[in-house]
Amino acid sequence: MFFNVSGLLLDALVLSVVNRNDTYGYEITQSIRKAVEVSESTLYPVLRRLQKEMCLETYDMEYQGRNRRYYKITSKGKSQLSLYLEEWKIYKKNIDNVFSGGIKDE
Amino acid sequence: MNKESFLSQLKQKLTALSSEEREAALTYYEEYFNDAGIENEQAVINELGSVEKVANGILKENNYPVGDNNNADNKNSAVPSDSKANNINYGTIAILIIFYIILSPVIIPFFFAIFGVLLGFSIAGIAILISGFAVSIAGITSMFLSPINGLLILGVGFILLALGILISTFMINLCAVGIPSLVRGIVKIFKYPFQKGGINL
Repeated sequence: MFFNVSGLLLDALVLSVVNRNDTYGYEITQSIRKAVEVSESTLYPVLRRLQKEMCLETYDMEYQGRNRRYYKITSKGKSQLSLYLEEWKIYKKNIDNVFSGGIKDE
Repeated sequence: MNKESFLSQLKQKLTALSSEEREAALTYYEEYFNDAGIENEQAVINELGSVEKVANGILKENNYPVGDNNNADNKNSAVPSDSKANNINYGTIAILIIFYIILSPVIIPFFFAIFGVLLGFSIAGIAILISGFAVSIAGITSMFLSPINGLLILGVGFILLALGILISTFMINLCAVGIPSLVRGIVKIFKYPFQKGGINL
């Protein structure tokens, strides 16, 4: 993976992982790392920020005698995610157009 | 390094944060280690990199200046050192500025008027002092012609002199204290909305 993933794209990835089902930090990190190369330390600040922005909420559940904090997407997070997905479609199409020579100087 | 030393070092690096933020981060990484499993402990530590890197990422997200040698990062993070600084009430500042603009035809002449009154009394005091000198000298010279008239004029001169000294010293003191505090007052009033909002001029 050559391309750097950061900022809003990372927000979008996290939101879409949590959107599938409620999940916890380690699992979120592993899911995202299957697709893109991000350091394990970059995810926590993103999760925390999304939580503060009320896009995610957390709840604690016991797992094997210890506590685990689960992340759950909120309705604000869902609308944010659908906005990102729409923007991504446009972005992807534009980039693809440039790559395939679709946009030429008139 | 193991999990415990990693977490305790991280705790030290995050002392600038509120205890709530710090605990949230430590809980997250502790759970992270637990979920990764003991067999992956070293792999996780290696992947996380240095404690500084992890701590800086968290501090930066909380708008704390990150004290490393990375200048590009410092520029971004050094601006608001306090999360409260982000909650600038632009509405109040705008209202205050509008208020000042509307009131400036009143406020500014008002300060000039005070200044003018001070200046007027000072000059009057000095004028009385000078006239006191003049009358006293006139009194002394007229004593050669008519000692009684001369004495009278000299007495009036001394009264004027005393009055002049009294008024001028009082006005000098008033100006020495009054004018600087007047100027400070004006500056303070006009600086207020910018200071309050955390906008650096």
